[in-house]
Amino acid sequence: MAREPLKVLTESMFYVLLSLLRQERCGTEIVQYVDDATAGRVPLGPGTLYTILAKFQEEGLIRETAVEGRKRTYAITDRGRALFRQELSRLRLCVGDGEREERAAENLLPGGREEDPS
Amino acid sequence: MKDRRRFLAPRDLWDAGTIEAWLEEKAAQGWILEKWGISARFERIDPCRCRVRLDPKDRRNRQQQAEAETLYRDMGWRWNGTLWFYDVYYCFDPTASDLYTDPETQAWAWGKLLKRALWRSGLSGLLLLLWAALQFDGLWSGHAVQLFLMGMWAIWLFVILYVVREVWEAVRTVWGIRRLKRRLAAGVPMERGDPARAVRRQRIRQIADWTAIALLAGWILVIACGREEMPLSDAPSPLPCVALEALDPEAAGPELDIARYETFDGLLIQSRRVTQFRWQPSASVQAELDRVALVSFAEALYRERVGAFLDAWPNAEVRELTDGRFDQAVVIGAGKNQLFAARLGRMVLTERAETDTDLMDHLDGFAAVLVEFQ
Repeated sequence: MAREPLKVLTESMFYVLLSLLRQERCGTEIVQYVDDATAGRVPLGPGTLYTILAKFQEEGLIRETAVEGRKRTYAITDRGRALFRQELSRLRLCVGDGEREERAAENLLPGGREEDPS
Repeated sequence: MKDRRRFLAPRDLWDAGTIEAWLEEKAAQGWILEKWGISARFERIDPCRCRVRLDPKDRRNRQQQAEAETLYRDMGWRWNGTLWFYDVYYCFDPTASDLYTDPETQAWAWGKLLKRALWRSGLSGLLLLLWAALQFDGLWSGHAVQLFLMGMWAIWLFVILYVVREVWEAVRTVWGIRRLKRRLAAGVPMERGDPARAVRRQRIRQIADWTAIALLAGWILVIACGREEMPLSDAPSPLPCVALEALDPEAAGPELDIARYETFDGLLIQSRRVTQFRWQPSASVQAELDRVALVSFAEALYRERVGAFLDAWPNAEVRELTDGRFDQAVVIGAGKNQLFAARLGRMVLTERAETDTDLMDHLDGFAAVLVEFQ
């Protein structure tokens, strides 16, 4: 089942927003930033990047700030920041839920009973 | 050794994965796509392993496109032309990231492609229907049965088959893109079919297309060759009608302005037509004797001929005949303009005359024509 667009961001979308949080960047810089930030874990293909940039612009999450020759620079908008924060909270909840369940699972005895704290 | 070559390419354009696989195979054999037209033209390169991706075209302006191409090139992807609604990219660097690394994002690009395909299919469908309607305008000409029997049935059948095929192709394209978009949106990467099978399918389709076109062309030739026209003086005797000389010897006396004999031999109908015409004093005979393949065709042709005359002369006097020599017969008169129509088995005789003589007086002559040509 397809997800509702932009309700939940994919890793690529998340990192594109992340790359623009502190400064404006052009396409090549975004790719470079994401590669450095994730140590190559999240590859960002050119097709993916351009589709994300076009969609984010369409949705008002980012805006173009400068065009120099073939270089186009983008900045995040307030709407983009809000979406980023919302996604970050969601991810925190996911991580929190995951960690809680993992701790609980570690406290379980092999038979499935909970360990007696005393 | 040729530096350029054409190959038969897969044509299911919505099946981008299979086309990509086929283009990669061609690159491994030493051929890179140069132009995608009626056939795919390739240029020779050193055989190499590479990745090929079809990227749904986006509505970018020239500057945005140039910028995108620069970035694509910097990341190892070379633009190599267009194919339908796709930009074609080749990547010879095995370490470069894929063009699309996120299927969900790719689904957006395919969503735009889907909208374009829907627009294009809708517009093509409308034009196709308009074209098809024009091919069938003969149905409203008042001579639909005659046109059908004289060979238009094959043209109409071709048009129907062509429209069905085009609609089917359009539906498959839209459905294929929609399915792919939904799969990508769900995070499922694009699947790839067997290129050899896709090419085989295309070959079969092409053979079927050319066969249909050859049959149609052959049929048009047969229709054209089945016609013959000559002066009435050269016509074989006896004539398949009661001629003007017999109907009205006085009127036929002076030389006629038109005296023509036409034949048509088709699969469903054999037709003989006599035209005798003079302006002043006005007198004419237009007779048609048709032998058709089935009795039901003869009945339909008879009805059509009578109906056409009544459309032209709605107040004419209609005299239905009960005569054992004909299965159906009628004489219709509107002053000097008269029509005799009769059917005997698979034969239909119609004679339209502009004369003062009553055609009722010549029933023996008409019956003799039908017996003679039976």
